Amino acid sequence: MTGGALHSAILRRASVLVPASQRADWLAEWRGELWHVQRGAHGVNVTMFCLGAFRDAFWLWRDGSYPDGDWLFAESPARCLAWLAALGAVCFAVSLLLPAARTVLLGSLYPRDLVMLTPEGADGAEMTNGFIAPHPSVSREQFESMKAYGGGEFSGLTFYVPAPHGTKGFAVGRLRHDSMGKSPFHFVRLADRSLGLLGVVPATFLFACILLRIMTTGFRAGHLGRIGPRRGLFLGAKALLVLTIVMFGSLDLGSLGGGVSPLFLDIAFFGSLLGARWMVADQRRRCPVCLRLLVNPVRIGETSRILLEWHGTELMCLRGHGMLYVPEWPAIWSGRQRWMGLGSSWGGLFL
Amino acid sequence: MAAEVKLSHTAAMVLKAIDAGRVYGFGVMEVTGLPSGTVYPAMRRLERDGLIRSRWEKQSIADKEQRPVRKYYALTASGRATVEAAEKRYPLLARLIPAPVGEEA
Repeated sequence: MTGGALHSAILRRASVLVPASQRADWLAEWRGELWHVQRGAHGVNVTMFCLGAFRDAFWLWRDGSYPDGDWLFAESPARCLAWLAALGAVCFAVSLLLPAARTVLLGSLYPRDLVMLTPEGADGAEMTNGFIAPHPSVSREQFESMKAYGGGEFSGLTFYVPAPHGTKGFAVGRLRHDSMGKSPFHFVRLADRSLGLLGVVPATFLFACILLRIMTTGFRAGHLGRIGPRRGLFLGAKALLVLTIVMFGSLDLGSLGGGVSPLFLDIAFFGSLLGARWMVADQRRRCPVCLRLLVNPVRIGETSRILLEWHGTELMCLRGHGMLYVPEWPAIWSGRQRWMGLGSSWGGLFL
Repeated sequence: MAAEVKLSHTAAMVLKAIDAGRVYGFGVMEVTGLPSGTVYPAMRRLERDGLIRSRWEKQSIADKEQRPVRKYYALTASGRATVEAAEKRYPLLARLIPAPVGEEA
């Protein structure tokens, strides 16, 4: 592919992002500019020039799609919390719809003293990840033996065979006492609640936050270190909602197969990591005064000139409270992002 | 014009460059040293905020020179007022962006 064809292809690809109503004009403008860049002895990298079209197209896409730039990107803190709460509610609703997840949340319909008996060594009623995974494992002879040995321990001991001509089934009865003496068979309570399983998630989330704190400078970097009461409350509310989403979301994903998969804990862990990471990143991109998302990112400087000038991205608060400088290439004098508050004397620039 | 105009230093540079006679995007890039991915979105935003306006040059001019048509930009009255405010706020702006030819004196 020749240089000209490559540059033309870049512009065409970028134009896909531009709203259809503006695409023809946009492409014509970039092609007109490209013609001059290609023919001028300006020392400009033509390919880099064309790649800049993607940022321009993305800006138009975002600006054109969301004129107020607000509703989808949750710029206001209240809207951000509303989005998180809505997502948490959806995850909770899905949990109620999935049978396995519902069992975890609401517990079993069986009475507390209802138990299922299994002969020693049989794996038919082992608890799997906090849940009973029953398989018919008791033969009629074993059931008779259970009745003989455990008659005093259980009431209403019954044998169920799930298949019409099956040889093995389930032995179910009601426990007379809370515990049972030495016997040659085990029992599991059918009413075991597994809410304890969900209790692992907050611990996982806390662990993810600590891990993130140790491995990155995320919590300390820049203006996030100065947490006022309002910022603290917002961060706390966000953490609670993210935790809710991770908790129910991982339960939903782990319950898709019918029972709660052992992958539930893995999903919860990675979900916690992602959630905590997003939480910190979102907090870092908010104005410390009004808590709205900082917008209009503009790239300033070049990496090759880092010794001469600042190089990174500048974001600003829509309400004129200040600007955030995020270094792209950390240097000794600009290793962290920096917040510059603008006083009322700057009002002239925010007409 | 928008009730509230948000003008960063970069946007002020772009606005000043247009005021200085750099009426094309590439010309603004040349004088400010900013990359295309910064200049063009900044100009879109300035145009959206009513500080500059764009216009296509006549097709006949482009045809005569056997090249594609270009879009050029000019300051609006609001844009001119904003440049003046920005120059007060950023004293180095006038030095960074040379004045239009014939206006140095």
